[in-house]
Amino acid sequence: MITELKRILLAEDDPRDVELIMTALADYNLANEVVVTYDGEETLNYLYNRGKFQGRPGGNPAVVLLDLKMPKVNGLEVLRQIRQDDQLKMTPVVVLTSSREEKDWVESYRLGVNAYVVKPVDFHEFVNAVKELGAFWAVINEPPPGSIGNMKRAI
Amino acid sequence: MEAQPAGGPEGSGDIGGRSLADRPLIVPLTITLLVMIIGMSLYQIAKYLLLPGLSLIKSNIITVFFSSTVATTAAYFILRRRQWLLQQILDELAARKKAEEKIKNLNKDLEYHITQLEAANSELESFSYSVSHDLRAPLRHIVGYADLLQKNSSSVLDETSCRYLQTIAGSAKRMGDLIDDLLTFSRIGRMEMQKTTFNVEQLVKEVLHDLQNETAGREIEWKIAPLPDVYGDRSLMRLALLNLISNAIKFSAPRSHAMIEIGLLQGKENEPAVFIRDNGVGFDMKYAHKLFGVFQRLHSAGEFEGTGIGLANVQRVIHRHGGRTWAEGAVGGGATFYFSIPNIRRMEDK
Repeated sequence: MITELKRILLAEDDPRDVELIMTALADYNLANEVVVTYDGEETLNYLYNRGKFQGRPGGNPAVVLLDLKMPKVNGLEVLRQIRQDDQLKMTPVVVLTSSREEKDWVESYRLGVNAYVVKPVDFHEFVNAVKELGAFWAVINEPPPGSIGNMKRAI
Repeated sequence: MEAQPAGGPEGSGDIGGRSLADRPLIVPLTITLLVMIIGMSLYQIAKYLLLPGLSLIKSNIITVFFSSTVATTAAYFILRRRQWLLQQILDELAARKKAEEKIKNLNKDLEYHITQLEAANSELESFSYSVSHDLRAPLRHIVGYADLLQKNSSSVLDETSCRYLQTIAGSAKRMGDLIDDLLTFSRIGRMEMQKTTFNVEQLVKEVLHDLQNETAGREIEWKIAPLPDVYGDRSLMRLALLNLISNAIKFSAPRSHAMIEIGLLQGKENEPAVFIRDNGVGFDMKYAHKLFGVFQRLHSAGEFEGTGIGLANVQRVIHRHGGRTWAEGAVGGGATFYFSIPNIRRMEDK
């Protein structure tokens, strides 16, 4: 049986965070299937196959790792749009943020996030958190119908 | 408030609601006339009794003169009193108007201050929001990249350089802790209180359960007295007790036989106060005023861990309940921390 890697969409505006997250994911050989978007608008463009992502291979990511504070459209707004869209609403979304503020996590859950993870300052904790997230959502979890990994397997 | 002026010497009770302003002038005139008639009659009687020889014209002139003098004087006093009462009413009205104006101004002031307070609060909120989001990110990067650097170049770096990198990461990590602590401290000040009545002893037991990891392997003799019910925010009070009790555990660590006592102080003059006493390292009373300050520590980081936010949190929680905190201690002689809040019940009241 061939296990296909499922695609992770990483919405993160800070290139340093992107590098650190990719480093952590590389430990589990998960980095190859990560698509990075650097603001909320780009994230939505990817999800809706618009703009520079027009004509990308179809299917939804197995998980969206979503930063909250991003330029143009913030993470909560991205989350809201995902949950309101019939094609996207089942896509797992994990908020990965610096914020421990109550209003952020309460609002995220209210909008239907699947998990809320605060990026730890300690690097080892950070790497472990990202690795576990990657492993869980891209390997262990069965994504909903319409996700990239499933589609490949179905064919 | 001095909105109500004091009544006049003759009492302003007769001013009433409808008051003199509506009373017609006929009253003083009638009184004048009555006084004239009575005066005349009195004079006629007196004349016959005392001065039988006086002529009719003379006696009539004296009668008219006498009674008109009495009547005019009476009318004068009646009018004056009327004037005085009217003045009282006008004064009272003016005073009332002034008071109303004052209240209006005070209300305006109050509204202004509320707006200011709301603005300050929302500024504080967005400030801590931005601290939470933006300040922690660069720290995470410092720690992350220092760690990556160490991993990638451990073969070429000497021991000192490795230690430098560890220090960089360690310091950034500590700053992250400090920021988290400050955010918690600020949150304690801002969060809405949800007050209920709960039992302190029950809460202490829950906190002790939470602290099991910290007490593992330690020999601690606990003395927990019956504790009362209080009316307050349970989660905030839990945080205060957690800080106080974990301090007692921490600062009694050097003792092979630690003793921690939690009880209720109820002197006759003092308000009842909950206390937490340990036989730990204590502190110098000279620095007691510093204990509850933000990031104030009386021990070096090498001796005891911590950022120094715990007691500041405790004080903020107790202040928000309208209470106070204080402490007693001696170097090497243990420490006792007290807090009292309104509505704490004496045990016998239960």
